[in-house]
Amino acid sequence: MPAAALTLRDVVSGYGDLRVLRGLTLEVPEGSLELVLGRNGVGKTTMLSTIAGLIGTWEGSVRVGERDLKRLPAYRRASTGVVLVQQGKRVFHQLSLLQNVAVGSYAIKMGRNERREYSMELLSQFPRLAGREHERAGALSGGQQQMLAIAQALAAKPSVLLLDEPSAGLSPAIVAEVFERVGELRDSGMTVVLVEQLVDQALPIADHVSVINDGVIVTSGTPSEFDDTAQLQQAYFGSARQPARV
Amino acid sequence: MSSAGSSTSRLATPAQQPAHQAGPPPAEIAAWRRHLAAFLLGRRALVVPIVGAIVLLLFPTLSGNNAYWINQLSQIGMLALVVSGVNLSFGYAGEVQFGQVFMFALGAYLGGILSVHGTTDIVPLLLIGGAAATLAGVVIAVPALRIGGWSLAMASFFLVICLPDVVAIFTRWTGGRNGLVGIPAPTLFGETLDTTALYEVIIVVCIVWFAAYRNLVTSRFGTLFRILRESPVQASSLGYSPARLKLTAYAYGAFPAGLAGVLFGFVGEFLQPESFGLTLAIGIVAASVLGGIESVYGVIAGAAILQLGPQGSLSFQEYAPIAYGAFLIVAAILFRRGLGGIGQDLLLRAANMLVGRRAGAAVTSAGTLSAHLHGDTVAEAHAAEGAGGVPLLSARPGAPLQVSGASKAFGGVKALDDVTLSAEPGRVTALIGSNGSGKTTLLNVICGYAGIDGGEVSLDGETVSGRQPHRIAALGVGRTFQTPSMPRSVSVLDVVASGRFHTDRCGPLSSIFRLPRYWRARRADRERALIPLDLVGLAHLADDEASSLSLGTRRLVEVARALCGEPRLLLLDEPASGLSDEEVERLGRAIRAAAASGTTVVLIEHNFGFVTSVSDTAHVLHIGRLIASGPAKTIGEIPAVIESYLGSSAKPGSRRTLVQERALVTGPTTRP
Amino acid sequence: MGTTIWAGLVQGAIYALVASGFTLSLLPSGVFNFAQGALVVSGSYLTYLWLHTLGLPSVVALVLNLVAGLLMGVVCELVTVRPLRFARGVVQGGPAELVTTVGMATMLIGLISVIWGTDPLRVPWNGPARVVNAIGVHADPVEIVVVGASIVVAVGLFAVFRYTRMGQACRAVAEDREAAMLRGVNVDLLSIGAFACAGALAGVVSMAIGPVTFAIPTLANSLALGGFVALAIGGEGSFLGALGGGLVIGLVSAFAARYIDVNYANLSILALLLVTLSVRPKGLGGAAEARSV
Repeated sequence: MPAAALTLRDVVSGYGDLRVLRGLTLEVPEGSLELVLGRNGVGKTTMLSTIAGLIGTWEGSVRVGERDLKRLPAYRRASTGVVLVQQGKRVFHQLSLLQNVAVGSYAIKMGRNERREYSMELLSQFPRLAGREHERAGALSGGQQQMLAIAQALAAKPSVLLLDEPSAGLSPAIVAEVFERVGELRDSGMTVVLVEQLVDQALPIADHVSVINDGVIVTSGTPSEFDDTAQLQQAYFGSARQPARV
Repeated sequence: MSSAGSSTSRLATPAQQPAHQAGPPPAEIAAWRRHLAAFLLGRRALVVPIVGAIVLLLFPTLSGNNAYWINQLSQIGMLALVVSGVNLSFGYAGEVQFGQVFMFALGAYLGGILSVHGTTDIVPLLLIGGAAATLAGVVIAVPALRIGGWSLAMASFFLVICLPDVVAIFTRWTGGRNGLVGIPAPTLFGETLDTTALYEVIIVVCIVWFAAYRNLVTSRFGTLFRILRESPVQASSLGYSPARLKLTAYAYGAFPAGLAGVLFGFVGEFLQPESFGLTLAIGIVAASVLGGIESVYGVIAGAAILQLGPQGSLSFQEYAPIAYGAFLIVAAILFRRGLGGIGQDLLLRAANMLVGRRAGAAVTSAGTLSAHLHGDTVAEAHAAEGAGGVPLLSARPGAPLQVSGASKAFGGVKALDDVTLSAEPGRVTALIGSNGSGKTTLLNVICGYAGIDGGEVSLDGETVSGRQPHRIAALGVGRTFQTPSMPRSVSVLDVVASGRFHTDRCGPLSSIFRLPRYWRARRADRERALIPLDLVGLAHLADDEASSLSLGTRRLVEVARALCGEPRLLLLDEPASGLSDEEVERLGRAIRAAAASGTTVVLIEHNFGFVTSVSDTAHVLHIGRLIASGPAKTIGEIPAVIESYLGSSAKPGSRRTLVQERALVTGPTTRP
Repeated sequence: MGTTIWAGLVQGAIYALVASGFTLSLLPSGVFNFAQGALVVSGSYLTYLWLHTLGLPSVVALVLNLVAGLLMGVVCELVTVRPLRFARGVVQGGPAELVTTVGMATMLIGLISVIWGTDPLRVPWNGPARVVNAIGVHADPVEIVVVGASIVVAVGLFAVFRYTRMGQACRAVAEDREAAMLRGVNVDLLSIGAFACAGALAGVVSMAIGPVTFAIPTLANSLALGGFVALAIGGEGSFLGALGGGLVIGLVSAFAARYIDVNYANLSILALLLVTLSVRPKGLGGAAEARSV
């Protein structure tokens, strides 16, 4: 098994007084795609925010390779290769596509023209975005914005890419396209943590699956172990959860 | 549940046990400590302001007519009046504005001009000044409602800059930049008032206003203003127009400034525009911040410090602005809750110590501790009454909901596409579908938060689409939100009671004057709120501070609040997410009880098991379209539902490759 | 007529310069720095100090003003914005910053009054002095410099924010602070940097503004409010909008003062502001992009 690219050990974090993650441990090997599942509000987004440094790690450790990220502010984590694509297609609407990607590469030192070429080159890899470099991102459709958000994240040359529900609010065709792209990234050696609700479409590209409940990983395994819907449902909603009957 | 109900046994209910566990002090000392703690926090603390008021009234006699202090106290009183008004708009309605000086000046000039040209009788002048300021407050608030935020703060600031110009334009009356001179001494019932008598008038006006102010903010309007500050959307879901609530806050906030203005003219006997400059405008906001924007008596402390500190000390006049500025910065950073808030914290801490609790341990809210100590905890009273069996929800007859051909698009994305469905009274209708399928949008369209592009929504045969949210809510549409936010410093019981405010209207004047209607509404609020609260199993938290609750508990409180309004249509947006199994069960019980009482219930939920167990009918949405409807029990067996909601390749062992998967989903769409 | 237009343009240019400073610090910090007006007035007094009291050459004064403005901007950020950010995590234009920046302005004004008194001081102008006469307008060279500077500053900043990496990062922060942070943008540093630049801008332009307006402590708040109106009318976050807004209110108030009454100068600005905000809450140049919540 290759070395772990991302390691979370007994991580506790949350917002204000609220503990959301309660000792979460997760290890993602280099070049693999980890699919993280779970209901709303169990801590999936909190986990990604903790890794990216948007919220502090109260206890435990977050490591990328051998490097402990705990004391690193969010803006410096981008340059260590940890890049988060947040939920909700958060691109900069007022900026052009090219500028969006250029901001994505903010953490990388390069010259003015070099950056421009680099950004153009990156954009050209996205057929949906090609030829629209100078349009405002706000004018794009939802699917295009999601593609742009991914392009923007790639501009930072991530070693660990964190994706928070990239399929949310997208039509099936585009979802397939997004997942295909994510699969390619993994194939190219990138480590990916994918938080998703569309289990069935995400499973085929996953290398390993973890299910979060109540701020800890409750189940994990290979995708084939999660093929059975009933089993998945159980893992998803927690085995103890019985429907209320009145 | 015990059925014992005497007042003595209430004092010894389990909830109070921790108070005695700090050690074995002699019973008498413990009792004394409890009394003292109760005094610090309790309603009897009203003694302090009353004694204070008497001392102030007697001050001239006590001090042998100390002219310096009589003047200082007059100034503090007038400043406190002005500042308390700012608290209503700033602290409660949440909008910073510097325009209060304008109302103050308006009262002053109006009073001054009228006393020069007409009557010097202070009573009608005060009424006129107050009324004019109120009117101006409303007029100024109208653009303020549209602007808000920075722009409002700055625009109101700019208004102050314009004041000398306005005064100059009316030079004939106001004396322009030279000032309005020769304001005669005021009279009261024909008697001319000297400085001391005027002082007494000021103190009386302050007492009356602060009593009214206290009565207003401790009534349901305090709750409503706090809800408004937290979330205007929530206020409108309770059947109150946010715009009107804000106007109310501005109007009542302007009134005391007008009063203070009239008094100011008489105290100074001279008015000039420089008295109403930016420094005063800033000072008023500073006093408000310092005193605590949410506090009643903190205002007086803030005004006193400002008057005696930076503004009053003549020897440091030169350095006053520097001190002032530094003070503003420090106050805004350190005293977020102001002196009032800090005072309350200290009192709570002291009371906690007296009864042997660690500060901030089990009880964090002054309300809870005070209620415990006074032995009239709502929760305890409730437990003592020992209501046996399942509490009965009273309800208005449910209203059938009909959605016909509803369409809604955001940008180019169709969130709702020709959705037609209905929900019947006495039944639970579930809306299910994956994220982004349009469920919440449909709810928002029904409630009026999102406009409808096509089709219509009708309630009991009456078209409601196109109406404003608070009007729809007032028709009896109760709802909960995906992210329940609770107003700060409001008890759980009051939050739940806010659900029924629109069904049992009680205006601000009734609250201020504590008319019978107020007491009736208040009693009904407390009684009616307990029923749904008990139903969701949270009666024991009635006195706790709502904002301290966890997310899951908040959801249940929101459900209780919606039920408290006896809704004809109840809309629940993912009420079970984040709840424990046991809480889900209580939620289910409450939902069934609501339906059993005749309410039309519409439920959005991801928890499929919960949906099938609690609902009668289910509708499935997928990318804005209704793809299936049917009995909730069997809805999960429809293939289209399995595909869209539970997942397409659900059959075990039939793993399709990504390419096949993609071919499948992209197949039908034509590509250029 | 020509005189009125010119007077309006000069007044408007001053507001526009203040508004440019506002926008510069607003974009990456999200905070409306009310003390910007006080910074300009402080610059005027410093110019008086260097040129009149100490008799230094103009170039030296320019450098000193720039450095002093830079430092004051940094102090402003550290005192009025940073502690609040620390206390709350993220700030986006709450009432607390308004109180702290107003407090900073009050302090600066107080400090100036203690040092130089409250009487207007004539700030020297060592540039060309020959009055330019054209199309019936008598224009002081310093006035021409003020108007020119407002245009150069607005267009320059517009270009910087549009075309440089740093400027684009600032716009990204203005739109979504968190997302920008995730892309490696050091938002705290940008915030300090922007306040420093806004301070330096105030210091430099005050060398031309001071001779026009004289140095008066109470001018600080009027400038801040005028600048705010320019900003609000032109559209928050837009340099060119602020320039346009500034020039418009300068002209409107000049015409109101000339043709109605001098007392209507400020009132006409207030009316213009209220009408503009009622019709277009985001200002004339504001982003028209309406997005549903």
